[in-house]
Amino acid sequence: MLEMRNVCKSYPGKKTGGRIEVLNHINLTLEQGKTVGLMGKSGSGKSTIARILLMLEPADSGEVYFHGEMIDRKNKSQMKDFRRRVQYISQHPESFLDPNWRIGRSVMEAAKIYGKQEKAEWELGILLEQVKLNRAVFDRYPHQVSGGEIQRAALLRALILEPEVVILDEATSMLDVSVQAQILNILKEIQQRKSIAYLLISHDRGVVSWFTDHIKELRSGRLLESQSGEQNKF
Amino acid sequence: MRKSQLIPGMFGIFILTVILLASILAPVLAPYEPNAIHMAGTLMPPCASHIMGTDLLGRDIFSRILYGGRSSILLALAATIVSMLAGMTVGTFAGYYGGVFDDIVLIFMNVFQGLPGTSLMIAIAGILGPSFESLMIALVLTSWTGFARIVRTETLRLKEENFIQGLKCLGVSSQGIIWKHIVPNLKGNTMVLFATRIGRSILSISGLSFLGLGIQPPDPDWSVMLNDARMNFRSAPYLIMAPGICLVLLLLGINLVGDMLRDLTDNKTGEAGGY
Repeated sequence: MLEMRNVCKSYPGKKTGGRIEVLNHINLTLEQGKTVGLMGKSGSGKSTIARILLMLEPADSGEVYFHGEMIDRKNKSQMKDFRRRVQYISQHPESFLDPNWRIGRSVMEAAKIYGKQEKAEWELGILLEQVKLNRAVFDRYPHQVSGGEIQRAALLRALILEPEVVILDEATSMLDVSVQAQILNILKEIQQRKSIAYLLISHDRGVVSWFTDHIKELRSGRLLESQSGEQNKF
Repeated sequence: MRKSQLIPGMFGIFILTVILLASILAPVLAPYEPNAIHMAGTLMPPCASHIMGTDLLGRDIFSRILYGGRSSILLALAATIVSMLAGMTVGTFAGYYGGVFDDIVLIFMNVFQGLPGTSLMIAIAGILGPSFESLMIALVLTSWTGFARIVRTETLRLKEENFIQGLKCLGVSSQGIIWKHIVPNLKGNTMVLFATRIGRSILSISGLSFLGLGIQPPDPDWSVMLNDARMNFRSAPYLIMAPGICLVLLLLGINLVGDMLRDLTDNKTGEAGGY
């Protein structure tokens, strides 16, 4: 469904003055209803893969395909459709929503952009139940609620748009173990209902093994196959 | 925010309210016509009929004090608002879009900031002649870069913030991100800067008026009154004290309110979150 082919990316090196190759001919495919786990050390380029897949950053070479079509940044209507269908949850819940907006306004902004306010209002009760979020949170600012609640709100904002792919960039790593388990369970339930494809980026092998169907590891700019999630359960 | 932290700001609001009300209600409150010359009663010390005394031409100082804040406050407000709007627009777009536009803006900002502000203002006011318009042009040209530079730096920081990246992923347009998310997030810093700049503008207007390039006599103005009082301040110190104290109070009030606004608009320093 969402695919990167032969993607290379390098950044200017601060000390050497040359370029540091972060991604070297990376191929990665996300399929409907499946979860791919992406592991690697800090600075190995995991988030760069997410940013390239999300079209937030251009690759030096290689392409990103969505449903077999190459994504062109300059094609506005294609990009708008892509943005709705591919969503992202960040590793920093405390800064993922506008600090000056109440959470409810931030969540509903997603629906407003795509003219889905009525539908979103209609479905809000079900979605709130799915992500196990109390509506009272909508009246608060991000700094007034817990990290787990913000992650649920971020997930809710993504779900309102009925995405086909969600990229979870260390989405649970800042949360304590019990909240982490709750969020991962919610994600699994939602995947079973809606057949969403996930890319779970994490450095926690236990979480990745338990949550994913397929694990890839990024080492020295290359994507290596790791043991599958089924074999690696903890 | 604790109530005790609001006390200085409330004091600032009180000072500004008194000054603004006095300026607005000057025609009602002033016991004499501010420019009325009374040569029989020159340099009178404070007394029952003239509570702040009279100046060298026998004009009532209290009446002139009431009228004296009007032009400086109005001019400083207008010039700072125009500078802020120009600086914010340029700074936000330069910071957000970057590239060649940002490079050009940076060159302009460096050029304008490299020029000595006071000398430039004196030159502009001197070339264009002393008038409301020339003071306004001089003030805007010397202060828009202050806003632009700070807004640009803040925008550069904000656009890398996690929530802005999240908004891009949602498909929010660049215009939507700038006007709905970046500009409102700049309000804390901009308000403090606005208060600082308005204070500086008042000082600049006072300086130019003192040098004879700003508001012209016989219009009542605190800085013009300070200039007029120079010759007699040893024998009649009240001539210099009344407008001097008014200027200090005005600047103090503006700064206290600016600090309070910054604290109030910074949501992140509110209650701690649970993570």
